[in-house]
Amino acid sequence: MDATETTPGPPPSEWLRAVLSLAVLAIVAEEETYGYVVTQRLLAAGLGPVKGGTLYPVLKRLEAAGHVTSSWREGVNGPGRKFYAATEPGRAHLAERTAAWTHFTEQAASLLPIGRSTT
Amino acid sequence: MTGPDAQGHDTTRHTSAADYTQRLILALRLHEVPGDRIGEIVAEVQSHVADTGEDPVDAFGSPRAYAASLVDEHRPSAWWTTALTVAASGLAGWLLAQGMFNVALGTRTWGQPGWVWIGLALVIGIPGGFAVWRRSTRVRDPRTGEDLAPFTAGGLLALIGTPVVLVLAAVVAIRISS
Repeated sequence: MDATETTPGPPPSEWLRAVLSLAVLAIVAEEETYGYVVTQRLLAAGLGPVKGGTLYPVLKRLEAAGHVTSSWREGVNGPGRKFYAATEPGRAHLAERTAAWTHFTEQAASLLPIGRSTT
Repeated sequence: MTGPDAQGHDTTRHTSAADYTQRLILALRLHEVPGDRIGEIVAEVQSHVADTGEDPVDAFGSPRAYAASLVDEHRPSAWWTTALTVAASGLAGWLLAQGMFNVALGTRTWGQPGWVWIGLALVIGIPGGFAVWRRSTRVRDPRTGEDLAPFTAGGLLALIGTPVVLVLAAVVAIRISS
Protein backbone atom coordinates (compact mmCIF):
# COMPACT_ATOMS: atom_id res chain seq x y z
CA MET A 1 0.00 0.00 0.00
CA ASP A 2 2.83 2.47 -0.78
CA ALA A 3 0.69 4.70 -2.97
CA THR A 4 2.66 7.55 -4.56
CA GLU A 5 1.38 10.59 -6.44
CA THR A 6 1.85 8.76 -9.75
CA THR A 7 -0.47 5.85 -8.85
CA PRO A 8 -2.04 4.72 -12.13
CA GLY A 9 -5.75 4.07 -12.47
CA PRO A 10 -7.38 0.63 -12.57
CA PRO A 11 -5.49 -1.91 -14.71
CA PRO A 12 -6.57 -2.77 -18.28
CA SER A 13 -9.44 -5.25 -18.19
CA GLU A 14 -7.50 -7.96 -20.05
CA TRP A 15 -4.78 -7.92 -17.35
CA LEU A 16 -7.46 -8.19 -14.70
CA ARG A 17 -9.04 -11.13 -16.51
CA ALA A 18 -5.69 -12.93 -16.49
CA VAL A 19 -5.05 -12.55 -12.77
CA LEU A 20 -8.59 -12.40 -11.32
CA SER A 21 -9.00 -16.12 -10.65
CA LEU A 22 -5.63 -16.29 -8.84
CA ALA A 23 -6.38 -13.10 -6.86
CA VAL A 24 -9.77 -14.44 -5.76
CA LEU A 25 -8.19 -17.75 -4.73
CA ALA A 26 -5.56 -15.84 -2.72
CA ILE A 27 -8.24 -13.82 -0.87
CA VAL A 28 -10.29 -16.91 -0.06
CA ALA A 29 -7.15 -18.82 1.01
CA GLU A 30 -6.32 -16.08 3.51
CA GLU A 31 -9.65 -16.34 5.27
CA GLU A 32 -12.98 -18.07 4.68
CA THR A 33 -15.25 -15.32 3.37
CA TYR A 34 -18.18 -14.36 1.11
CA GLY A 35 -18.63 -12.63 -2.25
CA TYR A 36 -19.12 -9.04 -1.11
CA VAL A 37 -15.93 -9.10 1.01
CA VAL A 38 -14.00 -10.53 -1.96
CA THR A 39 -15.09 -7.57 -4.14
CA GLN A 40 -14.11 -5.14 -1.36
CA ARG A 41 -10.67 -6.77 -1.01
CA LEU A 42 -10.12 -6.61 -4.78
CA LEU A 43 -11.11 -2.94 -4.77
CA ALA A 44 -8.79 -2.17 -1.84
CA ALA A 45 -5.93 -3.95 -3.63
CA GLY A 46 -6.37 -1.61 -6.60
CA LEU A 47 -7.74 -4.26 -8.95
CA GLY A 48 -10.80 -2.09 -9.63
CA PRO A 49 -14.48 -2.73 -9.06
CA VAL A 50 -15.41 -6.30 -10.00
CA LYS A 51 -19.10 -6.89 -10.71
CA GLY A 52 -21.05 -9.76 -9.16
CA GLY A 53 -21.73 -11.06 -12.65
CA THR A 54 -17.96 -11.51 -13.10
CA LEU A 55 -17.04 -12.69 -9.60
CA TYR A 56 -19.51 -15.54 -9.03
CA PRO A 57 -18.71 -17.40 -12.27
CA VAL A 58 -14.99 -17.21 -11.26
CA LEU A 59 -15.80 -18.65 -7.81
CA LYS A 60 -17.91 -21.36 -9.46
CA ARG A 61 -15.03 -22.34 -11.74
CA LEU A 62 -12.65 -22.47 -8.75
CA GLU A 63 -15.16 -24.70 -6.99
CA ALA A 64 -15.57 -26.95 -10.04
CA ALA A 65 -11.76 -27.29 -10.19
CA GLY A 66 -11.75 -28.39 -6.54
CA HIS A 67 -9.72 -25.36 -5.39
CA VAL A 68 -12.53 -23.92 -3.28
CA THR A 69 -15.49 -25.24 -1.29
CA SER A 70 -18.62 -23.28 -0.47
CA SER A 71 -21.39 -23.41 2.12
CA TRP A 72 -24.44 -21.29 2.91
CA ARG A 73 -24.57 -19.70 6.33
CA GLU A 74 -27.53 -18.13 8.06
CA GLY A 75 -27.46 -14.32 7.96
CA VAL A 76 -27.81 -12.28 11.16
CA ASN A 77 -30.55 -10.25 9.53
CA GLY A 78 -31.51 -10.68 5.92
CA PRO A 79 -30.72 -13.58 3.59
CA GLY A 80 -27.87 -16.04 4.17
CA ARG A 81 -24.42 -15.75 2.66
CA LYS A 82 -22.34 -18.22 0.71
CA PHE A 83 -18.94 -18.61 2.33
CA TYR A 84 -15.94 -19.80 0.35
CA ALA A 85 -12.83 -21.56 1.69
CA ALA A 86 -9.71 -22.79 -0.10
CA THR A 87 -9.06 -26.54 -0.17
CA GLU A 88 -5.62 -28.18 0.18
CA PRO A 89 -5.32 -28.70 -3.61
CA GLY A 90 -6.41 -25.06 -3.97
CA ARG A 91 -3.59 -23.88 -1.69
CA ALA A 92 -1.07 -26.03 -3.57
CA HIS A 93 -2.34 -24.58 -6.86
CA LEU A 94 -2.09 -21.05 -5.45
CA ALA A 95 1.55 -21.56 -4.36
CA GLU A 96 2.47 -23.05 -7.73
CA ARG A 97 0.75 -20.32 -9.75
CA THR A 98 2.11 -17.55 -7.53
CA ALA A 99 5.65 -18.73 -8.28
CA ALA A 100 4.84 -18.98 -11.99
CA TRP A 101 3.22 -15.51 -11.96
CA THR A 102 6.24 -13.92 -10.27
CA HIS A 103 8.56 -15.53 -12.82
CA PHE A 104 6.31 -14.39 -15.67
CA THR A 105 6.02 -10.76 -14.55
CA GLU A 106 9.82 -10.58 -13.98
CA GLN A 107 10.41 -11.84 -17.50
CA ALA A 108 7.91 -9.37 -18.92
CA ALA A 109 9.48 -6.54 -16.88
CA SER A 110 12.93 -7.39 -18.23
CA LEU A 111 11.62 -6.55 -21.69
CA LEU A 112 9.91 -3.29 -20.73
CA PRO A 113 11.75 0.05 -20.71
CA ILE A 114 11.62 0.37 -16.92
CA GLY A 115 13.94 3.17 -15.72
CA ARG A 116 15.40 3.54 -19.19
CA SER A 117 13.34 5.87 -21.33
CA THR A 118 11.43 8.21 -19.08
CA THR A 119 9.97 11.33 -20.72
CA MET B 1 -23.07 2.70 -3.00
CA THR B 2 -25.91 4.67 -1.45
CA GLY B 3 -27.59 7.92 -2.38
CA PRO B 4 -28.88 9.16 -5.68
CA ASP B 5 -27.62 8.00 -9.02
CA ALA B 6 -24.50 10.14 -9.53
CA GLN B 7 -23.52 8.64 -12.89
CA GLY B 8 -26.84 9.61 -14.44
CA HIS B 9 -27.96 6.01 -15.05
CA ASP B 10 -31.36 5.55 -16.57
CA THR B 11 -33.47 5.00 -13.46
CA THR B 12 -36.48 3.77 -15.44
CA ARG B 13 -34.76 0.38 -15.86
CA HIS B 14 -34.54 -0.04 -12.09
CA THR B 15 -35.58 -3.59 -11.42
CA SER B 16 -37.18 -4.96 -8.33
CA ALA B 17 -35.24 -7.91 -6.95
CA ALA B 18 -38.29 -10.18 -7.14
CA ASP B 19 -38.90 -9.35 -10.79
CA TYR B 20 -35.22 -9.92 -11.59
CA THR B 21 -35.35 -13.30 -9.82
CA GLN B 22 -38.36 -14.48 -11.83
CA ARG B 23 -36.82 -13.41 -15.13
CA LEU B 24 -33.49 -15.03 -14.26
CA ILE B 25 -35.17 -18.34 -13.33
CA LEU B 26 -37.02 -18.35 -16.66
CA ALA B 27 -33.86 -17.51 -18.64
CA LEU B 28 -31.88 -20.28 -16.88
CA ARG B 29 -34.74 -22.75 -17.47
CA LEU B 30 -34.58 -21.98 -21.19
CA HIS B 31 -30.88 -22.90 -21.08
CA GLU B 32 -31.83 -26.21 -19.39
CA VAL B 33 -29.83 -25.45 -16.25
CA PRO B 34 -30.69 -28.00 -13.49
CA GLY B 35 -33.08 -26.76 -10.78
CA ASP B 36 -30.57 -26.99 -7.91
CA ARG B 37 -28.01 -24.93 -9.83
CA ILE B 38 -30.67 -22.31 -10.68
CA GLY B 39 -31.41 -22.05 -6.96
CA GLU B 40 -27.70 -21.47 -6.24
CA ILE B 41 -27.34 -18.78 -8.92
CA VAL B 42 -30.48 -16.94 -7.80
CA ALA B 43 -29.47 -17.10 -4.12
CA GLU B 44 -26.01 -15.71 -5.00
CA VAL B 45 -27.62 -12.76 -6.79
CA GLN B 46 -30.06 -12.05 -3.94
CA SER B 47 -27.36 -12.33 -1.27
CA HIS B 48 -24.90 -10.12 -3.20
CA VAL B 49 -27.51 -7.44 -3.95
CA ALA B 50 -28.60 -7.44 -0.30
CA ASP B 51 -24.96 -6.85 0.76
CA THR B 52 -24.09 -4.15 -1.78
CA GLY B 53 -27.46 -2.42 -2.23
CA GLU B 54 -26.84 -2.45 -5.97
CA ASP B 55 -29.47 -2.79 -8.67
CA PRO B 56 -29.26 -6.46 -9.82
CA VAL B 57 -29.05 -5.31 -13.46
CA ASP B 58 -26.00 -3.13 -12.65
CA ALA B 59 -24.27 -5.92 -10.73
CA PHE B 60 -25.07 -8.90 -12.96
CA GLY B 61 -26.37 -7.55 -16.27
CA SER B 62 -29.79 -8.37 -17.69
CA PRO B 63 -31.23 -11.76 -16.63
CA ARG B 64 -30.99 -13.04 -20.19
CA ALA B 65 -27.36 -11.92 -20.64
CA TYR B 66 -26.29 -13.32 -17.25
CA ALA B 67 -27.99 -16.66 -17.97
CA ALA B 68 -26.29 -16.78 -21.39
CA SER B 69 -22.89 -16.07 -19.80
CA LEU B 70 -23.34 -19.12 -17.56
CA VAL B 71 -24.22 -21.65 -20.27
CA ASP B 72 -20.64 -22.83 -20.78
CA GLU B 73 -21.01 -24.68 -17.47
CA HIS B 74 -24.05 -26.58 -18.76
CA ARG B 75 -24.24 -28.16 -22.18
CA PRO B 76 -27.88 -28.26 -23.23
CA SER B 77 -29.04 -31.58 -24.65
CA ALA B 78 -28.85 -32.10 -28.42
CA TRP B 79 -31.79 -31.07 -30.61
CA TRP B 80 -32.51 -34.68 -31.63
CA THR B 81 -33.16 -35.75 -28.02
CA THR B 82 -35.81 -33.02 -27.78
CA ALA B 83 -37.32 -34.11 -31.13
CA LEU B 84 -37.28 -37.76 -30.02
CA THR B 85 -38.94 -36.89 -26.69
CA VAL B 86 -41.69 -34.90 -28.40
CA ALA B 87 -42.31 -37.65 -31.00
CA ALA B 88 -42.35 -40.40 -28.34
CA SER B 89 -44.71 -38.38 -26.13
CA GLY B 90 -47.10 -37.83 -29.06
CA LEU B 91 -47.09 -41.52 -30.00
CA ALA B 92 -47.48 -42.61 -26.37
CA GLY B 93 -50.38 -40.21 -25.87
CA TRP B 94 -52.16 -41.47 -28.95
CA LEU B 95 -51.63 -45.15 -28.01
CA LEU B 96 -52.80 -44.46 -24.45
CA ALA B 97 -55.99 -42.76 -25.64
CA GLN B 98 -56.61 -45.56 -28.18
CA GLY B 99 -56.06 -48.22 -25.51
CA MET B 100 -58.36 -46.45 -23.05
CA PHE B 101 -61.11 -46.26 -25.70
CA ASN B 102 -60.68 -49.97 -26.44
CA VAL B 103 -60.93 -50.87 -22.75
CA ALA B 104 -63.87 -48.54 -22.08
CA LEU B 105 -65.87 -49.63 -25.15
CA GLY B 106 -64.75 -53.29 -25.15
CA THR B 107 -63.32 -53.05 -28.69
CA ARG B 108 -60.00 -53.93 -30.33
CA THR B 109 -57.55 -52.06 -32.57
CA TRP B 110 -55.77 -54.12 -35.24
CA GLY B 111 -57.00 -57.23 -33.46
CA GLN B 112 -55.35 -56.34 -30.14
CA PRO B 113 -57.19 -55.48 -26.89
CA GLY B 114 -56.77 -52.09 -25.19
CA TRP B 115 -54.39 -53.34 -22.48
CA VAL B 116 -51.77 -54.14 -25.13
CA TRP B 117 -51.89 -50.55 -26.43
CA ILE B 118 -51.83 -49.04 -22.94
CA GLY B 119 -48.79 -51.20 -22.09
CA LEU B 120 -47.04 -50.13 -25.31
CA ALA B 121 -47.85 -46.48 -24.52
CA LEU B 122 -46.22 -46.80 -21.10
CA VAL B 123 -43.09 -48.47 -22.55
CA ILE B 124 -42.70 -45.65 -25.09
CA GLY B 125 -43.86 -42.81 -22.86
CA ILE B 126 -42.02 -43.46 -19.59
CA PRO B 127 -38.45 -42.72 -20.87
CA GLY B 128 -39.69 -39.45 -22.43
CA GLY B 129 -41.60 -38.58 -19.29
CA PHE B 130 -38.48 -39.24 -17.21
CA ALA B 131 -36.45 -36.91 -19.48
CA VAL B 132 -39.03 -34.14 -19.07
CA TRP B 133 -39.18 -34.71 -15.30
CA ARG B 134 -35.39 -34.43 -15.04
CA ARG B 135 -35.47 -31.07 -16.80
CA SER B 136 -38.25 -29.79 -14.58
CA THR B 137 -36.58 -30.51 -11.23
CA ARG B 138 -37.59 -28.03 -8.59
CA VAL B 139 -35.72 -24.77 -8.14
CA ARG B 140 -34.58 -25.19 -4.55
CA ASP B 141 -33.33 -22.27 -2.45
CA PRO B 142 -30.02 -23.50 -0.95
CA ARG B 143 -30.51 -21.24 2.10
CA THR B 144 -33.90 -22.51 3.19
CA GLY B 145 -34.54 -25.67 1.15
CA GLU B 146 -37.81 -24.15 -0.06
CA ASP B 147 -39.01 -23.87 -3.63
CA LEU B 148 -38.14 -20.59 -5.37
CA ALA B 149 -40.65 -21.28 -8.13
CA PRO B 150 -43.25 -23.57 -6.59
CA PHE B 151 -45.38 -25.72 -8.88
CA THR B 152 -48.89 -25.27 -7.51
CA ALA B 153 -51.16 -28.22 -6.72
CA GLY B 154 -53.85 -26.62 -8.94
CA GLY B 155 -51.45 -26.52 -11.91
CA LEU B 156 -50.52 -30.18 -11.44
CA LEU B 157 -54.19 -31.16 -11.19
CA ALA B 158 -55.03 -29.28 -14.40
CA LEU B 159 -52.08 -30.90 -16.22
CA ILE B 160 -53.05 -34.47 -15.29
CA GLY B 161 -56.82 -34.01 -14.98
CA THR B 162 -57.54 -32.33 -18.34
CA PRO B 163 -56.65 -35.31 -20.62
CA VAL B 164 -58.45 -37.77 -18.31
CA VAL B 165 -61.62 -35.66 -18.35
CA LEU B 166 -61.41 -35.29 -22.17
CA VAL B 167 -61.14 -39.06 -22.72
CA LEU B 168 -63.98 -39.81 -20.29
CA ALA B 169 -66.18 -37.19 -21.97
CA ALA B 170 -65.44 -38.71 -25.38
CA VAL B 171 -66.30 -42.21 -24.10
CA VAL B 172 -69.59 -40.97 -22.67
CA ALA B 173 -70.40 -39.18 -25.95
CA ILE B 174 -69.68 -42.34 -28.00
CA ARG B 175 -71.77 -44.51 -25.61
CA ILE B 176 -74.73 -42.13 -25.89
CA SER B 177 -74.59 -41.83 -29.69
CA SER B 178 -74.32 -45.61 -30.33
